[in-house]
Parts: sequence; structure tokens; C-alpha cells
Amino acid sequence: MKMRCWRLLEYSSKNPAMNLAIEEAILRCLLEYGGPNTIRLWQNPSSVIIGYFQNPKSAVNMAACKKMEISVIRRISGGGAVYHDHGNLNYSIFVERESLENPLKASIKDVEKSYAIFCGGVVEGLKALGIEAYSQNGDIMIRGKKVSGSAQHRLYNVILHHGTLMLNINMEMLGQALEISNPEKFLVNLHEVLPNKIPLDKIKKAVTKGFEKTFNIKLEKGALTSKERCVAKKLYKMKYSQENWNIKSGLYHGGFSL
Amino acid sequence: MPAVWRLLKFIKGNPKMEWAVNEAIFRSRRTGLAPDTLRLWQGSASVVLGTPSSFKDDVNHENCIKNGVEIVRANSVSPEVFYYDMGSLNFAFAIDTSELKQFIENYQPVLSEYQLLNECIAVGLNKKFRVTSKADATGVYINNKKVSESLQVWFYDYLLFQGTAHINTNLSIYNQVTRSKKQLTTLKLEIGEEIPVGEVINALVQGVEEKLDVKFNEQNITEEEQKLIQKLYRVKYRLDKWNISGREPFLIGMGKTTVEVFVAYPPTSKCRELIDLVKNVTSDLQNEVEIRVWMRGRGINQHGPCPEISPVLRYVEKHSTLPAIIINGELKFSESIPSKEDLRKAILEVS
Repeated sequence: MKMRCWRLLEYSSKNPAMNLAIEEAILRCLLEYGGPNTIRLWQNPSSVIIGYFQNPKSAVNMAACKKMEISVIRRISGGGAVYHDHGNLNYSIFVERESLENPLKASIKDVEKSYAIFCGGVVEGLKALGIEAYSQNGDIMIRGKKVSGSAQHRLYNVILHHGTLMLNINMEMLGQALEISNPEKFLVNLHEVLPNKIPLDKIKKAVTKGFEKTFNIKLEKGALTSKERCVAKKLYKMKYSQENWNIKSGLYHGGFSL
Repeated sequence: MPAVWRLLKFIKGNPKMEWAVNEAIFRSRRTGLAPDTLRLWQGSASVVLGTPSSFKDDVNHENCIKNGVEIVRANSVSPEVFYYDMGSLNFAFAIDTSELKQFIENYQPVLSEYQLLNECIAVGLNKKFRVTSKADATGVYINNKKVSESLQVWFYDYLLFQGTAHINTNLSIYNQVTRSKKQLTTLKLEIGEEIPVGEVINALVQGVEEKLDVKFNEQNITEEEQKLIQKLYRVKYRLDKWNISGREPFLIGMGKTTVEVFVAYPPTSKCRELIDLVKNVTSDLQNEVEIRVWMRGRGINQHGPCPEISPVLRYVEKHSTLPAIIINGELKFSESIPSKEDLRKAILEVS
């Protein structure tokens, strides 16, 4: 069977809101215009990314974020709030379901199974670095502590699965921003469990290999298309830079946001 | 200056149709097509279940059949069950409760409104029949026995408070057909004499007038309400699906067939294609069908401050099922665009 090629995109904006606009733009362009499935590896400056259904006023310490000059941005996928900084590597998988072959295609339709499959790529990558990790309900765990969390959004038959991988995140800032005392108790940075510090590039390479193995694909480096850039700019302007989208508690009525 | 309420009187109807009337006047009130309304009526022997009540656990079906008792279900937030017959006087308040707060001390949300309306009934009974009835949020009591009970449902500040006052209800049948363990009484038992229904109607009307500074204007139901009653009866109240299983169709406002289209925000080209398809398919059904396009992420108020949202829309939003077409509260199509024929057929089936 011929190995399929997916795009590997290593592009990060310095603006967290734009990074999330890019996530949605890639998803939309894959749906609207087709193209290769994509894996994106990217990083955000200090920021808090809240889930689609969350009320930032209860999920986040807004005062602490303001004091630390951390932006709070809403993503399109569900799940809980996460803290990002340059000690964190984000991965995103953009897949058009019909482009996959069975049994993968059938498994991915099931949300629960798909989490295990997508997280499996990262688990494979960590394995290559000599780390025993396992996936559990969308999280990736090392020795009982969480090193990665993930979330999904589905639009027609296109899936966005994205997650974090904590390399050397600032736990103190994370604790303050998300109002968690002693986050080290249940979260772990990868650098804490690695015998030697491994450069970011090597970790990215390992994760890339992990995805290639999991999906039986070849990843080829690529860039954002002009359409994706254009859609991202529009989404940034009308959505991700807007308080109405990111913060407004008026979105929430009886726990229902729409 | 006293507020003017509408007074509706219908006596001796088909029980299932009567509960459709209550919902119709409530919808009419909350849509702004009717004023605050008190409806007083009688109906043949029936057990009434609230929306969350269980047919299996709360009703003795065998005894209902044996005694010729109908089983009906009313919209309600509480799992109450009661029985009425031609010895009972039924009531339905369809009102905007924001006007009631001026009459309430030590306001407790929801409970105060229930207590106040029960007090109206108690005041009327006490004055007219020289009994000592007491009201709380759960009902009206004489000598600690319930003489009036109710089911309630809310739509924002609008309340439908519907229940029954036991004038000469057959409590023996009541205990046979429900599994209720309530301590009940009737006005006749307490007073020891027959009481004409007309007198109880006057008592309740006077109780409301006195307690809430209201004047009544006796009217008939409107043409729009009449039309809605027929539809509610057809798609809900005559069906076991509602009366026995508690499953109801979702209808907006005055009961148009409701097509909720859940799409991305901003809509993708496929989403726009889907919206156009729905509009196209229903272009000749504009008087029958209401289309609501909900864009994920645009907020709860994209169709005004008091949105009506089907439970299934909440479900598809929670599961990020995009796009989705929900017809009268049932998820009919998701994640793909249906054919024109399939969509038309699905809409016509429930219209």
C-alpha cells in the first residue's frame, strides 16, 4: 500500500489569538478546499486557553492573568482551561475522515476511540525518547501525572484534535493563572523525567515520527497556504481578538453558550 | 389602578383537549398575544401527571381503566400527580410574574409566586365559605389536608400555574387511581354541604381580585389560540408518547413547526448551502414553519433575549455536532447535507 503524505506545519504566531485563528482556519480550509491532512507543531507565549464551553470568570483567575499580562483566549474545542508558554509544545492534527482507510477511518468516527488514536501518536514519540507514557481519556500520563491534555472539534467530516505537551512549563504561573495550588502534584514537565535535557527540535522530531507510525504516513514540511492565512486573518479579526468571543459572560446562560 | 386580566371559562370538555388549552393560553401570554389570564374549567375524571412524573410508578393503570379515568400529562417542573373529576374546579393562571413581586414580602424565587397564587385561592375560599384554609407554596390546606394542588411550568418570568380545587372530588377514586399518599380533603367534606361550582368560581375570582388588585374581563380564547389548541392536541396531548412516556415535540412560540439549523460561526460554504436548502424547501410553508439558524459561538441571544431552545440543540452543541438539523426537537440530520426530498419529507411529516 502506498504511504500517504500529510503536511507538517511548524508555524507559530507570536500572538496567541492568531495561533487559535490559524487552528480554525486550517480546519475550515481543509473542509472547504480539501488538501492534505496536517499536523501542526506550535508554541504560544504565556497565555491561558479556555475551552469553548467555559466561563473564564470561574475557570481562570482573571485578576492574576491581568497582573501577569497573560491573555485569555477561547478555543473552538471543548475541555478545560490550559496554560501555555514557551515551555510547552502544542500539537494539532487536522484530518478529513474520508481520506483515511479502514480500520482507522471507522475507529476515528468514535470520539472516545479517536482520542486514544490521536494521543497514541504522541505516546509513540515519547517512547522513542525512552519515556514510558500512556493515554487516558484524552490525557497523556507519565508515572501517574499528566504531561499532556487534548481536545477536539469536528466540523462535518473534518476533525481537529489538538493538545499540549508540557516540556518545561512555568508551573508557578500556571498555578496562579488557573488557580491551582501545587500543580506539580498532578502535572509533570517532560524535562523532569528525561535523564538529560533534550532540545526542542529532537522532541518535535520524535513526535513527528510517532505520528508517522500511528497513521502510517509520511510527513512533509509545508507552510500555511495563502487561503489559510486569509481565513486566519478574518477569524482573528471577527472572533479571536474579540472580547465577545473570548470573555463575555453574556455568552453563558444557564450553562449554555451556543 | 388595578391590572386587567382575562377570565376564561370553559366547562365540561375533553380532558386531553383541555390541557392543550392551558398550554395554548400560556404560549399566547408569553408571546405577548394575550394578557395575564385566569382560566377556570371542569373536566371528566382524569389523572394528571407532571412532566417528570412516572406513569409506571405514580399511576394505577388498572384502576384507571376500571373507573374510566383518563390519563393526561401536563407541562410541569415538578413530579406531582393529582386526580380531578366533575366534582373539582380546575384552574390555570398564565401570567407574567414580574408584576407579582409588589405583593410579596421576603421574596423567595419560585416559591413566593406559588404561595401567592395559592393564597389567592385560600382568601377566596375563606371569605365565601367561612373555612380556615391556609396556603403555602405546595398548595391550599384545610385542617392540614390538601384541598387545592397544582403543577407549574416557567418560561423566563412567565408562569403557567395549573391545578385543581377539590370541591366534591371523589377521593376514594383518587386513592385508587394514583399511588399518592397525600392527606386530602374536599370543600364539601369540610363544610358538610353541597356547594355549587359557580360559587367556587366566584370565590376564586374574588380571591385573585382582592389579593392581586386585579379586575377580570371575561373573554373567549382568540382565533390564534384556537388554532394552536388543535395543533397541540394533534401533535402532543392526544398521544401516548406524551401522556404515557412524557416525550413532547419542541415547538416555538405559537406552535409553528420548528426547524433549528445548527451551523458553524461564521458559516462555512457548506453551512450556507445548508441554510439556503432549508429556506428553499420551506419557501411555500412560511406560515407553518419557523426556521432558527443557530451559529455555534455567537452566543445565547442571537435570536433575542428570551430564546427558546430545544434540548436536542443543547445536546448537539455539547457534542459539537456540526451541522445539525433539528425538527420539532428531534435531531433529523447531522454532519452532512440532506437531499431536498428527504428534508422536505421530514418537515412535512411533523407539520
